[in-house]
Amino acid sequence: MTEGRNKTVEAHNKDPLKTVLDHLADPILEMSDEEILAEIRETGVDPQEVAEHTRAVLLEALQKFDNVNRRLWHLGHNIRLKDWQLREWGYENTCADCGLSVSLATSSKQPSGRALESRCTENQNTSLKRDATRK
Amino acid sequence: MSETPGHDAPESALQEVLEVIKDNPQAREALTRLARNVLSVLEKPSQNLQKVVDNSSNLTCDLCGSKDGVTLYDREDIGIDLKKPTLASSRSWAACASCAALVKSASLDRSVESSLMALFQAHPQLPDTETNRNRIRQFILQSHNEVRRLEKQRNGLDGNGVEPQGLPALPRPQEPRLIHRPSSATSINDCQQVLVIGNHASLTQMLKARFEHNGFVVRTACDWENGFAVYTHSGPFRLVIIDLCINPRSPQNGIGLARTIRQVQPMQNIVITAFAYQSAEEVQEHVEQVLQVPLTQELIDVPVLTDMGELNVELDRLRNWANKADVSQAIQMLSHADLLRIKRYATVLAWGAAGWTGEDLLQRAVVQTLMGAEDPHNGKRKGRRRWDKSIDFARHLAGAIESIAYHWKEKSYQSCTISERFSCDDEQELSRFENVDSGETSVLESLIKEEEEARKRVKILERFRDDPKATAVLQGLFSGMDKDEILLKESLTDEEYKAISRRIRRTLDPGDNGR
Repeated sequence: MTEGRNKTVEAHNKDPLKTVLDHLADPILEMSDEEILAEIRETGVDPQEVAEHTRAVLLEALQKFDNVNRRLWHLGHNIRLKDWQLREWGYENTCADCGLSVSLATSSKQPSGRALESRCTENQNTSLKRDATRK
Repeated sequence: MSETPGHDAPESALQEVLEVIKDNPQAREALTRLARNVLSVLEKPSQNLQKVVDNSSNLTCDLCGSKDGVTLYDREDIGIDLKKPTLASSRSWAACASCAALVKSASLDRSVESSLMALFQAHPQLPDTETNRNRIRQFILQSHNEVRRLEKQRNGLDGNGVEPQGLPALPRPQEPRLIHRPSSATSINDCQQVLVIGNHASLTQMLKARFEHNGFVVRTACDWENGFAVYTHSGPFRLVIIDLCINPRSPQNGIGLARTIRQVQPMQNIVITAFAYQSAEEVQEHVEQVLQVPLTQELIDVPVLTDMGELNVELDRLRNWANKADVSQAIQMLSHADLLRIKRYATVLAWGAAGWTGEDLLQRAVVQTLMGAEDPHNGKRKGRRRWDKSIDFARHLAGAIESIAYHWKEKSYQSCTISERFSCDDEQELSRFENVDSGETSVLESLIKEEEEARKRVKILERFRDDPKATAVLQGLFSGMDKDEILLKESLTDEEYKAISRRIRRTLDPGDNGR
């Protein structure tokens, strides 16, 4: 089988949408500032607005991550950083002391889990102390 | 060999022959080629034959058709060294000075279309027709391929894993804009290059792959001289890895090279690999026995790695891992253009990840980075991605987004069962496979996959029914062609291709309009 034929068979074996996406996505990273601005304008939206919205989306993820950790800390939970487990919808962890779970979704969903709703039963004193420092 | 009177071609006889064949360009060219070939084997050049060559005005430029200042070049030299005229042969091509310069520039700068335009401007007599454009594009693409082949050789990808010697220095291909900002490297720690010097090709290749995987640009060299030459030419490097076993019984061994490099650049990070030994102490003992010299003070901080696992520790030591505050600051510092590129990139990749939007990909990329920042010792675990601050943050995010999107697509495809892949409407099709043995499941799977993909292709193409150019580009992509091949086949310019890609992106966009 020739090299060209191999190439074709390989391409046919790939998901066609993936093939197209590969070719459509990669050049975006090579676009000049002017080119990307023009492409966004073509879609009928204000590039500046889209850029700032994108920054807000990135910062929101940061904020969500911060808020979850802060709340868990105030509630006295012992969340080990290395124990965050990747799930399809985001991350999941459990308090090392009381076993309550917490999930941090990486989409529009808000963080949830019993660990965010109640104090750590094993570290009541710690959580009250932490709560006091907040006040 | 000397010219004997009887065989000395008299000028008059040659003139006579030239007169006879003056209206026959093929015969004139054949005579010129013959004269060139004869000249090349004569120890003492014949002035008469030289005149035939000099007077031959039948050479025409293969690109523009001009007859002025046309020289023959070896096809393999195309784009590399156009200063060397060659003998006429099937492997040669003729080019005038301006075309030769333009082909060379196109080969090095990768600007096919701009070179093409410049060529037509330089030769107003050459009709700017599609046929001419395609013919010339083919030449330029051929030279590109040749340059790429040589670059691969230079990078040790030709099978021996080390940099071949004596090849001309070629500029590196231009990296994507987002990924390759103008370097602001001011110190060794800002530099992203690693030099690997060793004479075991497989080991050099393995180290190269490992460091490239970690985002470094890796240069390789096969011996002392080459290694030092690369260092003096391109140094300093973030890290220089030297195999102890280069010239093991000579003062010019790995230790000697490390010492020489330290004399040039005392701050240079160096690691010596000695995987044939059990421990660093054993290496030291051996070196002192063989060389009869102790390891010098200047190399006191040079780690000697006797285990591949130690390399990971060394890699980590080199890194400039970001913390949460760094990530926050980097997001604030992203330019509008970077934000738009990342957003658009995420949006396009999210089309293939069912149930995901570009914003989901962006947020997950940030969270992965934060997980990596908060837990740097486990930064390589699933769902964590540490950001090395010496790498552009936009580049880091793009890498994270790409990996998340493809991981998700792969996973969703694998987890999809046969029945799930067919909707209820496809029950009839599913029944065709009902009586298939379990042993033939893989065949069945591949049949289904093929059918499903064919259907997807048709669905995509249907959306471009009224756009023949976009259809042609998509069909080219489906059949495994790359951009250059599509440009050539469809006689498209770079600008036209970009416009078509934009149209395809816009049409396939499920509707969040770049947001």
